[in-house]
Amino acid sequence: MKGMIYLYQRTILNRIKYALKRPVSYILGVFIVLYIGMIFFSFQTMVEEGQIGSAENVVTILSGIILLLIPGNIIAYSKRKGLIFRPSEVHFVFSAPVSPKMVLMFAGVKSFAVNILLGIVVAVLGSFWFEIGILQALGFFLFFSVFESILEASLIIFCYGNERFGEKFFKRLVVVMYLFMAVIAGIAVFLLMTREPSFQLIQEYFAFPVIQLVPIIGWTIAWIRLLFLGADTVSLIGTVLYLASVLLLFIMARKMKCTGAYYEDAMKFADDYQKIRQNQKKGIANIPWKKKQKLREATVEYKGKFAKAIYFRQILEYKKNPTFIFGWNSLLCFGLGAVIAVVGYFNDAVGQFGPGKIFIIPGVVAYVTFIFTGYATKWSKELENPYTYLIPDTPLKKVWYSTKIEHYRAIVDGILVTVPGAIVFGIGPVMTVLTVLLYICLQANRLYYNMLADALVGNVLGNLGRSLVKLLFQGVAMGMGIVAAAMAGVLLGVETGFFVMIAVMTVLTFAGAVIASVSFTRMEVME
Amino acid sequence: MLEIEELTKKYGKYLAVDHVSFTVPTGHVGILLGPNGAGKSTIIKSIAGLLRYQGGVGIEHMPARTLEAKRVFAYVPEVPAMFDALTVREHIEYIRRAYDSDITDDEVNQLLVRFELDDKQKKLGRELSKGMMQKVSICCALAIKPKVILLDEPMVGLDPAAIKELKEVVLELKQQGVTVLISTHMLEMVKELWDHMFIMEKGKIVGSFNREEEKDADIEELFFKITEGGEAS
Repeated sequence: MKGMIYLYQRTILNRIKYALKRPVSYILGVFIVLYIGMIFFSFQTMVEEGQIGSAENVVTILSGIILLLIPGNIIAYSKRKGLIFRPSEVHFVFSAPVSPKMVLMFAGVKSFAVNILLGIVVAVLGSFWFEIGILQALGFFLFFSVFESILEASLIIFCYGNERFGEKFFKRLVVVMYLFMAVIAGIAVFLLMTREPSFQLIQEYFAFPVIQLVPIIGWTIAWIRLLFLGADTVSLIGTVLYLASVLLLFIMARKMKCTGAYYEDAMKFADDYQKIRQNQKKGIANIPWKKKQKLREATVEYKGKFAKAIYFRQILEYKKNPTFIFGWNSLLCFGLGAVIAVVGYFNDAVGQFGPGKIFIIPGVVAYVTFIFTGYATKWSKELENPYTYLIPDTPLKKVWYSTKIEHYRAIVDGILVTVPGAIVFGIGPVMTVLTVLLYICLQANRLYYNMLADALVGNVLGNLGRSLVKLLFQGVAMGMGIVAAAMAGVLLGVETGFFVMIAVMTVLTFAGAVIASVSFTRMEVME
Repeated sequence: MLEIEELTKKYGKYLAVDHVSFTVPTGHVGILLGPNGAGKSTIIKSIAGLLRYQGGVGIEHMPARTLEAKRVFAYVPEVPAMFDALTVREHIEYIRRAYDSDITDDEVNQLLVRFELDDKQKKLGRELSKGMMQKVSICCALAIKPKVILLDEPMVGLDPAAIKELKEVVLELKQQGVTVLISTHMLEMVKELWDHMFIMEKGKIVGSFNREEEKDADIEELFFKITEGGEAS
């Protein structure tokens, strides 16, 4: 216990000390304050203008949160993935003379902190903007931060520390929770389809006695209703059952024998989590259901030497991949293309935009390219391979052959994004080809400017700083491209405007790639 | 004393450790030898309480999972993992508090000097190289002042000076009556340390040797006699 307290104290203090030494923390702090301020004032305006400041609405919002939160937590804990453990804890905590239940409680600190934070937020905002009395707000804070935390702690011990019920029991519990969520969502969809959709309808739905009498989840909604809307028979029964269940689960959790059998699952989770974090740092998306792919047998003929070998090696790797160069991103692009077409069709985009319809797809694509960081592929792994630097060739050629396949992928993705919308909007073949070319150009720009930001700022400004620098470069390039395109468009026609934008972006992207090629001269990253 | 009785561990249908039993008496050094994938690390992790297993593990005559047993038990994993935001010194301080160890500041300083970490006391966990992490991991284990210590491939990543120091530490621990179990495949490194040798292959102990009985026979000869065919005692 003493060790755990020391561990948490020092970790928090050292992190604060370290953060205060980094200029990027202050920039981030300003952003967070501005963001909170923006949310606060926009929400206040929304509440005032929408006249939604009633206690009923607070109850409805909280009921929605509870219906998602508790089953979600139970699912995560039953899968033994709800608590974050790190390899350092496996090393130094699991073998230490600390009760395994205590280890769980320390790991659950973040969850309890969220409960307290939510309690404070609801109490403060509720009494400011909604028709909630101070005593009600205080009551909610105490109830939520104390009883909800006890309930959560008991659930954590019940799911993680349980050495009596086997794996099958928890698998069934997960299925039951998913079914429950599906039923709740199903009824909501049924009501929305059969009756006039309104906020009032959601309020009525959450007020159904049957919802309030669902064990634990519904009982939580019952006490919230009792506190904010006053007692009725159902909410009174639900509240009593809630308090009884909290007490019962607490006693069960205290008495339950727990020798630390969950350490094995926690250790596995710690390894997986470590990999996820490392991938996140590299920009690789984590797809939870994605299993390790089986590779096919393949061969490749190396039609070149030096840096070209990188390209052919990548081809070989992709040929071993069952889906070749295609992946989740191809599906996402197709999905985006379909969404543009469907939304445009149902909203009469052709009628509304007129001749401007040709800008819909490039506009959406430019926005998505600008906002999302993109996905890491084989080219970024080249930077981790010492042989990339040892190959006797120029850095620019290494950049080109490491990223060549990315351009082929961009061609396919560009077609998937563009063609559905082009058909629906009746865009001609020339403009469709130009739109695909623009997509390829934007993707290349993102790729090389990402590399450029890495090469110029490294880890000096942290991930956020690097992203901001990249956004700045991209924004400047896009801005210059748009200005040039607009001028050419006005003087020489829309097709020429598109062509000029592609040409300007290509030149700027090439310039970025030339500077970024410094990344391929040495393995060292700026710290 | 460290007692392993009928230890069995399955990963799904794969049998990683198959009814393994052995004992390392108090104040003796046991060596767990075997090729990669033999099941050594699984045994070590089971003893450390990190895995579910069938069978029994006893530390100083206490079940290994009890807090009393954990108080006198130290573990150096194969791959050390440090707390990102804790300094080297804070790692040891954490251990002192977690185990209520009576190690003094002077003893901690001596330990850090011994493993050439005295000038790196204020470095954060995330700033350490793999070798340094291994040294911190060993210092933390020693800071417990354990009665049983488990070292999983402890020499990997250490520089020659640290390997020499570690060997001396193991011999000192033995003199102090501490039971030591080292899992390794680096035969050369444990030549002068061993009292008992357990050779593993495919999840089973295929040979056990006692130094006294073998009259200081060469560890490599004994190992290859078993793994390249032959019977064990």
